[in-house]
Amino acid sequence: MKRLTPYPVLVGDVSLEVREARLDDISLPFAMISVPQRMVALHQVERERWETARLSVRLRTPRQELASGPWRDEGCYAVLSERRTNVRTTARLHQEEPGIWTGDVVVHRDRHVGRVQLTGHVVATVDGTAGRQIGTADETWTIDLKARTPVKSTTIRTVWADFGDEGNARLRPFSADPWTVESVGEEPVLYLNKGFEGLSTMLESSRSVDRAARDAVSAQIAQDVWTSLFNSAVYAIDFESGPPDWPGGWQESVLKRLLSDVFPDRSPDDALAELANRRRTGDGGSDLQTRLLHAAAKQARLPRNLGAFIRTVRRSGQENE
Amino acid sequence: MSTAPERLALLPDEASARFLTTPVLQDREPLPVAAIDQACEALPHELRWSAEPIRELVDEAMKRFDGPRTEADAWLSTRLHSTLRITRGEAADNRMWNHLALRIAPDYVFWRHMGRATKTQPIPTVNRSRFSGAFYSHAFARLWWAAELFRDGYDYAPVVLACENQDVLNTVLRLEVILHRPTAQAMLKLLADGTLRTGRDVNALAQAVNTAGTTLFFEALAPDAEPDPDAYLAWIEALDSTLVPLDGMPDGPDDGRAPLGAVNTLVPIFKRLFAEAPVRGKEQKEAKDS
Repeated sequence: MKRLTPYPVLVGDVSLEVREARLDDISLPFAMISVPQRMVALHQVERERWETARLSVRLRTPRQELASGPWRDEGCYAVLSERRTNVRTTARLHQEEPGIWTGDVVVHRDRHVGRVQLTGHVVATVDGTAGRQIGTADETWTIDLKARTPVKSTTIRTVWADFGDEGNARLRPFSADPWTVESVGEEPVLYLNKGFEGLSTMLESSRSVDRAARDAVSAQIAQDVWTSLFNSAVYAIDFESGPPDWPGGWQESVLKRLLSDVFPDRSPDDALAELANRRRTGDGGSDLQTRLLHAAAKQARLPRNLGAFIRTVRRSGQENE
Repeated sequence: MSTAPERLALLPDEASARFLTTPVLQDREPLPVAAIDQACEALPHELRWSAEPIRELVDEAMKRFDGPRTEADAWLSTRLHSTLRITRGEAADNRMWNHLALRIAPDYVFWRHMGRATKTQPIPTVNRSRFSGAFYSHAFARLWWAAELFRDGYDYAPVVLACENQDVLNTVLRLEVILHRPTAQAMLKLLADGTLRTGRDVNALAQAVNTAGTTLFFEALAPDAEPDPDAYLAWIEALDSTLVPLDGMPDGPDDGRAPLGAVNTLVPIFKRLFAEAPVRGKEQKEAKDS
């Protein structure tokens, strides 16, 4: 979505690309850079302790438009940022030829821990105001300090455990449950109970006759996961001073994903404000749960999976008659 | 009863959440120290993880500031930063802050952050996030990060200025625009020269700068110089030979200051933004005058 700005901005595409990555001045194998995923996996098994990673980046700007538009003193920048470590590093790029800007950005190991975002910006003087942002690269790159192969992770971490086990003090109270979700901390975890008879057999079955049941149970689990992640994320919203802030991390991703179904008529920011307001005033909590149930079911594709299961059960019931 | 730990350790968020029950947050039940110790992961034997120097600072702060307790923030912020010498990467680990608040100095968290009784909450309670939460609300992380983000190279003076105003700590600290050092320093200049007088002024400026930051690229207007990472690491190592002063101002890492020219470019821009910004409770006439 393009932001409305009170001055002319670029219409043409701005694209950003990482061409090379050097770890302590040793060139990283190109397999660690994934152009389609826009990822750089800065984690080499052979080299745990590195200090700096230098990325060569290239930004392409619409040549004709930039040359003939109402802008002056155009400049391009690459920005590395990671909210968890409060680091934002800017590098000015140099114009190699019209429409092509290149330069290096440096990632310092000490100043980053997880996923670093790399963005590209085009800046110019517009109507006498210097430093206006007139364009940003359409896509953001991710520099991942943890991943081994470049893949964007959007799935939840899943752990099979015997809930009844003496060693699992945390899970023991839930020993009779088939699954539970832990949604505190940096990464939520779905625990599946190994001690729940038949659960692992069914979920891990590859037999086609089990498929409908497996998909229905998976969808049910997914709905529980979404519901509890959403509820935890609601408590992560900070609204003590002024308009509420997006909580960042997985909480923000969960909210952004579900809010469009929870409050379908509202923009993401308005939906967040509505949520914060309901939490603050304590009103509308039950209505929210109904809306949430709907949104979580949709994410979990429950109507489709449960529907298919019911159909299968009905079909096999008819066959038995 | 476990003895006081010698070193900081790593206490996971989910464990902290389990220990922070309502009676604990109301200080009616003690924190379960033995269970906390069991849930921790140890940190290496390094001087910078020693618990005792931090404990000393916390005790000193509670002794020195018997008036309004918010006044302890400015004093403790710089000294905590100068004592707990860690990288930003290490500071991003919530587990260390959890341990500091739940195990090393919970008494300070209660002393500084106990809420007032309200109609909905008749028993005074400490907000959970003061023990385990975001960097800008955690009792100790907020002070450490305020020092890290507001210091001007080795100079902690801007940090003191920032921490003397609770609205800077509560609002400005969490803005992404201040990760650009000249922006942070320019905002503090307006506080130093008296342009900003009240908490509402601070919030109005913060809002205005943040909004302007969506269309203005401050890094282009006022280019920063890269801080020197080696100087920072040298400062961490120098802890062995340093005693952080209690009365005098400690020294921060000498990793380079924000370029003065860059700061001075932003000051008039921010003054104009502030003059145009709506301030809650400010009269129309006054708004025109400034």
